[in-house]
Amino acid sequence: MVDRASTFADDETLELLRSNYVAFAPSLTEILKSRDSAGDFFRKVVNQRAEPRHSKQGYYICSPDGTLIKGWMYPRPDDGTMKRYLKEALAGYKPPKQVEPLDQTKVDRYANPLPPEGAVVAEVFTKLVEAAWQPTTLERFSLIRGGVGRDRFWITKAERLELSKGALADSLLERMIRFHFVDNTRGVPALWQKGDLKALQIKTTRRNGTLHVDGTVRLEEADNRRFEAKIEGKIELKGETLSRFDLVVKGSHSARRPEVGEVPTGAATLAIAFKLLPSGDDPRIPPLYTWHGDYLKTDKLRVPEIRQSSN
Amino acid sequence: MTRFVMLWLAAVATLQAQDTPDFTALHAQLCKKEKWETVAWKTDLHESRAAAVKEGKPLFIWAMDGQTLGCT
Repeated sequence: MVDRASTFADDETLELLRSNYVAFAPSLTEILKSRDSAGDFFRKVVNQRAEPRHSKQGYYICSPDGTLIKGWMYPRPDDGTMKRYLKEALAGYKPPKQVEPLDQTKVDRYANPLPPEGAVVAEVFTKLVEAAWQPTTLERFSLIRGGVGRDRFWITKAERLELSKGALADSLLERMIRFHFVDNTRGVPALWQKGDLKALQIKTTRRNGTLHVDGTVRLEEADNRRFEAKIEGKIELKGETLSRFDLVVKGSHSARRPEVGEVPTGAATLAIAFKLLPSGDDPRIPPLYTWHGDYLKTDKLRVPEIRQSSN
Repeated sequence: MTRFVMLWLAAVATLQAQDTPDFTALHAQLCKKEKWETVAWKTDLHESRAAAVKEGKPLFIWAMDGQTLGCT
């Protein structure tokens, strides 16, 4: 989040990367555990960096043979170190004469999950559109308070077919609510537990070929988070192909415990938007919570217990 | 009279089919592309490595907890 708002918002840095580097952005948590040749190569690179010892997060410049050229994590936000290192590494770079091939026949799918067959990938954007904060002198906090959280969302084939009939499947709603109606603007958030979903009203109407979604949701976590929001959406299909999945969720969000960094003082206004992944964007980036057993769950759901629907 | 009612119903249907200003504006505000997305970030190590060999360029790795491009 800090990186996207600062380091990678700098024009010269971006131009250096676009023109002179092949930029690779993995999920550190997953690739460090990946039991395949990609994981082996990655671990070989990052283990050449001595500092800091507590984390492998950060930035690495390396040759495709795995030789580390530069590796660093701090300072964050960047103070010009990034551009200096990018230029220094380029100045001395000599492409290796020989690069050993890696075994690509085995891919650890636990660490590299793919969307289920026939699934559609959507993007999720999250922002605190109104919030009050404690005064701070930390630049990092100032940068991320206005930032946009990002995630991916999977719509399964069965759910897509339900949408083509004008219905929002319980499993789709439950996945959306529990794993994506979260404030991820300052780091990895906790998902909502099933019992946290207290109320849900959903109305769907089809007008002029568009499925209109209107609803309200209330989530409460004991002694911590609360989110009460309106849901508005426009969904369109051409046959069984999803051509539009625009949703906006907006409402009052509060949290007592800061899971990452800090929380706003009092209730804030959290807005969440969903839209289909544009063609050309990489669909292999998985949603954050695909590792959780409930992410694609279709039975023993909370939504059908409390859902109040009208069509 | 019938014609007036039909026109009125058609106008109402058209208005209902349009997005509300708040929905449209907020959706556009949240979903807009950011500068960091102008870099052709790759998410597959093998593809990244092959491109680096082919183009004679070094690899730049941005590695954070959670998928740096898609999560948080």
